[in-house]
Amino acid sequence: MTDFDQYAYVDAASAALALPIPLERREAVAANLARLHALAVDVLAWQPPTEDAADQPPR
Amino acid sequence: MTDPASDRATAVEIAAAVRDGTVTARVVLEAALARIAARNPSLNAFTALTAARARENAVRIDRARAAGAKLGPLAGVPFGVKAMVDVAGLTTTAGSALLAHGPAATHDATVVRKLEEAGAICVGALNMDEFGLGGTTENALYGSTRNPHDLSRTAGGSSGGCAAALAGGLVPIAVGSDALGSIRLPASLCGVYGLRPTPGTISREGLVGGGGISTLGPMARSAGDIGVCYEVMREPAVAKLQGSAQRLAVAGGYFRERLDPDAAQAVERAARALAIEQVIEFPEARLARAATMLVNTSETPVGKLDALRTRLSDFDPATRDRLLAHALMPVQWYLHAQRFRRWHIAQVLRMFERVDVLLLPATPCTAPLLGAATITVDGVAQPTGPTLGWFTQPLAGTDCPALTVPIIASAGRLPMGVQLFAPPGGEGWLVEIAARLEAAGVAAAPVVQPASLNDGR
Repeated sequence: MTDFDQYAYVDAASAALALPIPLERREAVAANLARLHALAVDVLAWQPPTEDAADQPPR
Repeated sequence: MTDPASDRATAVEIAAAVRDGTVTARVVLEAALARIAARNPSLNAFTALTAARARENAVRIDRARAAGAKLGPLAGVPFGVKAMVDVAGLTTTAGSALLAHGPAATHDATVVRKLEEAGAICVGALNMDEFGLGGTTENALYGSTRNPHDLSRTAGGSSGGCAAALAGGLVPIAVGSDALGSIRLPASLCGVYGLRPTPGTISREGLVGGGGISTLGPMARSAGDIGVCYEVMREPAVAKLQGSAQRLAVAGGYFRERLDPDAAQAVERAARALAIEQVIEFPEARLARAATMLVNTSETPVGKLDALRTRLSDFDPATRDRLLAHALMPVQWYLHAQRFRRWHIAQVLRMFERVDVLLLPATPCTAPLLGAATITVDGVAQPTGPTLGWFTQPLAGTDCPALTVPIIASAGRLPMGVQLFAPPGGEGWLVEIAARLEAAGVAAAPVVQPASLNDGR
């Protein structure tokens, strides 16, 4: 997760979502995604210490 | 006794005076409209007014009293509403150019209807960050709302118009919304009260643009007003905790790090007044903040994809790039965040087996200057928006209520609030503890009137 390429991700995800990112916005959008990725790294790595409500289907 | 038509009167005082005939609703309303005319150009809190409708309602209340009718608990109390809540006759803009030229709402949001059924009088819509996506109420279309305590500083956000209208004495109560801290944060920076209620207890019908964890709630200048407003606004079937809060504690760890002396002193003063000795850890605060931010940011672009494709230039520059990034977020980030959140809610409820109400800081520092990209907290420069929410965001995903209480600042210092946090249904406990802080002379929300706002009232 440490080698997240936010630029490549922005290009691929925007194509998949049919949400074009203007060239002049690409840098700022990538920077925002990098900040979110920094939050996501710890959340993705987290495992519930015991079997409990965490593994219920999402609300 | 406070003049019920003055800017310092609380909602409870106004309603009592209107009910007993000391003052008419019309007199109270005209005084509020005059203050708005005089002070709003400096504060930029209100973005639209409903004066004609308000006058009709005031006349109706006064006629009802004259006819011997029993008036409601908020009789004749003027209030404002964050601009993302439907008010019949006003376009619900959510602070966005995308919606600014749309049709007017044809009916009131449930919460507006409930307040007016209790006798309150809606006088207009209040400024906010576009779609609630910000913490400083710096809006490209409507301009920045300014903090009444220092007009060069932010009122906080995204319910910054609400907080400024209260602190500037324009109205005594307002309806805000809070996803990651949008009620509690501006309440702290403007020195007023702001309640994020238990999610689900106040109807979101008529709320435009809020994400799934966004919750409507009252903001006011006294603990008593918060209590009355919440009782009026909440759904009738909501469960409430009974009795009194006995076991109080202050949050340690994350909530004692990275905060300025003003914030630390506010917590210490409140803890001393409440004789709190116990310190307990709020579970996994950093992860809770991250997960809650991921959940909220994933939900904010919902319903806006077409506009992001076709009307990108109409979005506020302050939110445009963030919304694009939010729209592209991988679903696994969201799902893992929700997975953590479910576990975390259970941990917070376990924490509440040991304590009734938890005391925490509300913001890490006092109000920053408008336009500041970074703020310095405890000697370290940090990005302004996310940093202001350090202490409100970890609580936002927990399904528990939290109340910002304004702690009286030292002479010459800007306002600073603390948060009180309770189990679901514990709004009454929060109001009770806030009232204890008021009675101890530690908490208060004075109306401030800088020289440029002086209109003689």
